[in-house]
Amino acid sequence: MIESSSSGIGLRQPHYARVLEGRPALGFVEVHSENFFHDGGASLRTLERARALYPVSLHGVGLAIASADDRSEMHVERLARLVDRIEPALVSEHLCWGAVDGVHFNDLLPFPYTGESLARVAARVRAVQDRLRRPLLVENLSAYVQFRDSDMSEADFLAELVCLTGCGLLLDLNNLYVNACNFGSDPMDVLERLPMHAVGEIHLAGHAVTEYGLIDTHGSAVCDDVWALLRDVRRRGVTAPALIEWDTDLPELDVLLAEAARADDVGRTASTHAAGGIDACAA
Amino acid sequence: MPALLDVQRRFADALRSAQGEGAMLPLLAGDAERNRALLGIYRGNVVANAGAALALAYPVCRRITGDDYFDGLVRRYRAETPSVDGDLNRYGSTFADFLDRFEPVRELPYLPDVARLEWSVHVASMAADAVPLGGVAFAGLDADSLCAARLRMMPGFALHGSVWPIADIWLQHQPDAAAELDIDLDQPQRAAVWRDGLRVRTAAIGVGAHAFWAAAAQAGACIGDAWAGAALYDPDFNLAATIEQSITSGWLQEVHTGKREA
Repeated sequence: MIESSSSGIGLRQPHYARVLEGRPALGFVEVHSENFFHDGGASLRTLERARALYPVSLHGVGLAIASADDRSEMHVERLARLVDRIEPALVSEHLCWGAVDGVHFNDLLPFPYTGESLARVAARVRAVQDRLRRPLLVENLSAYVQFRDSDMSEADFLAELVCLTGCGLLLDLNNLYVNACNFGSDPMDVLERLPMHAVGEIHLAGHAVTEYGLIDTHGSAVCDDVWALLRDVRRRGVTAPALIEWDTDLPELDVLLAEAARADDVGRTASTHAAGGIDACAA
Repeated sequence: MPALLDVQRRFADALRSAQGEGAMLPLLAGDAERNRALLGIYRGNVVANAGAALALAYPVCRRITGDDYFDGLVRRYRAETPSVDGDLNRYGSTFADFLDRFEPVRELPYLPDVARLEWSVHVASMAADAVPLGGVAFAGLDADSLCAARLRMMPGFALHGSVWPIADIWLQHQPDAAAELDIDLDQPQRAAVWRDGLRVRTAAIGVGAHAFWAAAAQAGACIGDAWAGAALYDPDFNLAATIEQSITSGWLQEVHTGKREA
């Protein structure tokens, strides 16, 4: 179990030794599931050692739950094997597609939010949850493009998905912020529409500012506006653990630990003011 | 609105090339010019993700070619052989075959065989953990039983043969390579790849040993047949020393001493 409102970091290869030997105080660590799908070897051994020290969150990047042409049975089996091996506290995936006609793009790709796509994603999420015998957390995506014919917002899509499947939400506040800025919506409105009761984990990360808008790079510190969103989410009574995600231009471990400590502080301060007030699914 | 499958096929075309964006653009909200640029970012990500995976699997090839040239190879390879799996660690098994066909690489004629060796190293790094066999497994076997025995290698064990000194080239490009080796490029080399605990190792092996392991480890021949084959390649082939070395290096997982099947 991960402690309420605690924080963790994405565990990346350059930090393995320092985390395993230094054992910094962290609520949990998160890794990309696919990097541990192997039969054995050094990476898997490292994850087993980390698991002995911390609760682990398995964060997938390759299941592509919104692919219309789904051929991921083997992928789900490999994930199930890893889940059995590691006994993670959390298992998550992205709300995206990634493969069609047998070709995998290995990227997190957006799709139109329609009744058809909702039915498909719900069926996939149910199948994965049945196989893993546990709920999946589904993460809101940072997307560069939007579809003209989406019938609903991503937030409404996720709210429906939660009701249809009982899945949880991995609330990525940086993704939410990046999309809101790029597509001209108010991040607070988006938060308002998401099912806060279903949030099982929060992601925090940095983004880059480019001529085409904000790009979710996971390559810098969490910005002030995203910290403000975290305070808001905590005030709404969400006690899910928060993760510092940093993948490119990885800094020294201490930088990540300082960000995680800051997330901890937000959790502690807000919990003293938490008012409850949690939404529930409309039946 | 086209069906989801059709939307994703159009998106896939746009990810393959800018020329494939035509059917995708009308599906997107907002300014078409801007959307073109944004689809370009996705195209770049797809190649970058594949490139990161290949850089992990083929670090020696990348060091030999330099980063920019390697990126160019990734682009060509991915266009020809896209990923088919949600796990990028499995991507790139045919990179060496692509290098064989790719004309400009002929200036580095040893590169395809180095790539073959590196893929075996990559596969071995992810292979199942197992306990290697100790020498005691052979104790008490008479000569006939020994000749009839068959060997099972540890997960990840692989053999390579090349007209180039692939083991020396690989060893020289390791981050912890001790000293500059004096590599004779005219020297054909045979090599074994195996897991020593969690670490993957590579070493040059003799022509007789290569023939022996190719028969005993890969073709499933009994020790006697593999020995006879190895002696054809190397009249001085020493069976006892070869078995001894494989036990010391932790190559063997099992020895089956049952009757030879017909």
